[in-house]
Amino acid sequence: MIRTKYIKHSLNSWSILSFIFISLIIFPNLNILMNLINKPNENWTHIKTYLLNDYIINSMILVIFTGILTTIIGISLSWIISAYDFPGRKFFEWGLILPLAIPPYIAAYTYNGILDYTGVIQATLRNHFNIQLSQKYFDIMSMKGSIFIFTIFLFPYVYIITKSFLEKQSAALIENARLLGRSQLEIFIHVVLPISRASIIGGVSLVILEVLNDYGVVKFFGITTFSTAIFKTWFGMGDIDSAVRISAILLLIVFAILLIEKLFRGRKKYSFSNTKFRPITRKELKDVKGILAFLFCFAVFSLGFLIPTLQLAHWSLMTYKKILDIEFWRFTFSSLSIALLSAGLIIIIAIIIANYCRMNDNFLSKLYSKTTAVGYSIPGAVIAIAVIIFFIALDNKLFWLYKLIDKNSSKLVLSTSITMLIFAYIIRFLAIGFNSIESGFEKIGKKFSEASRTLGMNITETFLKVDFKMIKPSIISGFILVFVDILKELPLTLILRPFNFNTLATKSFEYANDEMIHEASVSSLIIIIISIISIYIFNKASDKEAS
Amino acid sequence: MYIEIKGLYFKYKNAKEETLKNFTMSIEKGEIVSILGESGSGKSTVLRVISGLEVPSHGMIKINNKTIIDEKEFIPPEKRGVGMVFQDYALFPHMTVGQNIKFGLKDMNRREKLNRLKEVLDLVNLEGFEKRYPYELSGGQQQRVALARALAPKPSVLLLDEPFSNLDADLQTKIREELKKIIKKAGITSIFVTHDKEDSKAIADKVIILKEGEIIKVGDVNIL
Repeated sequence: MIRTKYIKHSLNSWSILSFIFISLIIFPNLNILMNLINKPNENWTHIKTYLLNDYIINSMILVIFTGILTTIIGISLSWIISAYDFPGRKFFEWGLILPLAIPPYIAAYTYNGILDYTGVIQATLRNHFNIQLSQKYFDIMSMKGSIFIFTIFLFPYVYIITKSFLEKQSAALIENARLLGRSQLEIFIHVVLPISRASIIGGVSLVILEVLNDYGVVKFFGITTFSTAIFKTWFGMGDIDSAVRISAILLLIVFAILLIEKLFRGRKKYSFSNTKFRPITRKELKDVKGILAFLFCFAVFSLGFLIPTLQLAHWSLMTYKKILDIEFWRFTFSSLSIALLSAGLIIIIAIIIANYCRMNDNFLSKLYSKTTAVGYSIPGAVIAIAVIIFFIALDNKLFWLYKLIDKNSSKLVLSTSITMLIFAYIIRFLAIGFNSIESGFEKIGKKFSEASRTLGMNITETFLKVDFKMIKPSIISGFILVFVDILKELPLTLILRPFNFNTLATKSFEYANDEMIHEASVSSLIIIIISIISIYIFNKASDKEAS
Repeated sequence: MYIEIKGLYFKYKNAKEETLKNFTMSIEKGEIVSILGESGSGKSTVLRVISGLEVPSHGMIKINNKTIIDEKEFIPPEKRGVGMVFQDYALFPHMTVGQNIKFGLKDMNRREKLNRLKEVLDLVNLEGFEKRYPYELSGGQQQRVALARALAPKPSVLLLDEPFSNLDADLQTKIREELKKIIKKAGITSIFVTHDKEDSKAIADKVIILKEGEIIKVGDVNIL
């Protein structure tokens, strides 16, 4: 067969590197799952009998209620913004994405600060109105509080995807329904909801994965979920086997969610269609209806962005003189440099795998692209455990080499270095870079590289001279997205950072955890400002592409 | 025989049937051959297999007595010395006309590249266009740039995939004449695929009619 000959020939640096990277992603995670087969220890019986139910129930309550509430808020806002015109619509169209710029853990301690006894609300009521209310009305550190935080700061996932779908792909159907004499409410229920099913499910599953990934909010609010349980079992009980077992169960739950998402979505994809589209003709909302639409958007915008940002800005003004010392600049620098370095590496790896996948339409390329995507669904705590175990094993295997280089070398070299953290970032965020690069490749198609091949350039030369220049915008937007995500990242950085290494995110969290909420504000605000800039750049780039 | 193709079989992934079945043909040096067929007949696939962009399951191709593919040999596209003009030209949008044409001349030095650029621009009547970008050209001019780019590295064979499908009807007749003139002047063995009998009549020395991946007729233009 000629194909065997061809396969041998197509074994080049792109395919070999892709294979190595994918194996490095699969191996640590597979190791976690394999642990389920091993016999559990005694501690596990205790966890299973007394604790596991709580982890499952708490995580499920968070997931289900956040899922329902983000769906309601996300769909209603996307419908109002796409189908109606009212005062402030243009501003809210963009402004309602901004809650994504505030990581939920920052929102959690900001709201706690706003609502606690010395916070702005209670202080104002007490000092100006002489009103003292029971503390129970202000207790956000609860299950309800967590659901509130997740809902208000994660609903933009549903909003963005559904809005984009409604604006780009539904005009003809909605207009037809109008001509057939249906009321706006009927159109919403009978047309909008069913046709946007795929995009809603896409958005909600992102929300659910974010909730399962979260460590900061639930840890701060003292709620036991899978994430906190993994940490507690390991660091509190010193039982790594059981921590791995909990991770494996969480991993199975995540896979089940991905499977359910696929089943529910059916064959439909929520795609950001790139073809020319006709927007829906917006209906103008006048008088009371217009004011109500404005108020609804304004309320969500205020809760999700304005209030916490103003509060953080106020605290920053109070504390910046104390905070801005050499130590602050040191961890700002390390935060930015590790995010830049990791984002750079991720983009390079994403390019290698994406280029291999588009050149080869076979089983391996499909497996590669699915594996890269799965990384983003795996919660940070699970990746952290997987990576530590992998690196400790690696250190054990390489000890002879360390000894050869330095006689007094300790046994743990890689697992106490920054490499381990960067490796974990790669597993977690590769999907974001990969999606961006892959869509760039999809847009240019294969004809330019084919033309280049027939003109005598090999795959690498073709990539450098043709593809790279043509997908530059995708490379840049992929880089920005990954950079910001790493800058905000908390659970992986908390567990895997080397001794004395801080980032803006870990420092904010540490301050907040030490009851120094005001001090946490400056670094939190920097994270938010950088996120806003990146959202703005990204939004501009997508608008430009769509037009 | 300058080009010899024997027993070529090709099947696209997920396709039920073979796109090419026992495709066999031979071409003399300097001949212009047209492969005529309806869409889906496999005619573009023949070009993709000859250029190395697709890999057949069976068969043999020899160009100028050199085997480029058989059961033992597989030469990658960049080493085949086959020039190809794509259906929508595939001119690199970030490069000027000059850069597009010089793209395939990587083994030449600067002066040789400039000389060859001048030669091919002269051949396709586009002198003075080297600084323009593809989007600044008309459809007919873009096609001539694509042709010049494919001819510049002096390939052993020129493949043209539906060279007229992207042009207005009025322009087609004019360009057909022009294309034939350029190819004859360059003296290069060429294979072009088309679904239009008139194209074949106007340009080809030899016509191959393809249906569902099989050759049903071969001969000069009189068979049409």
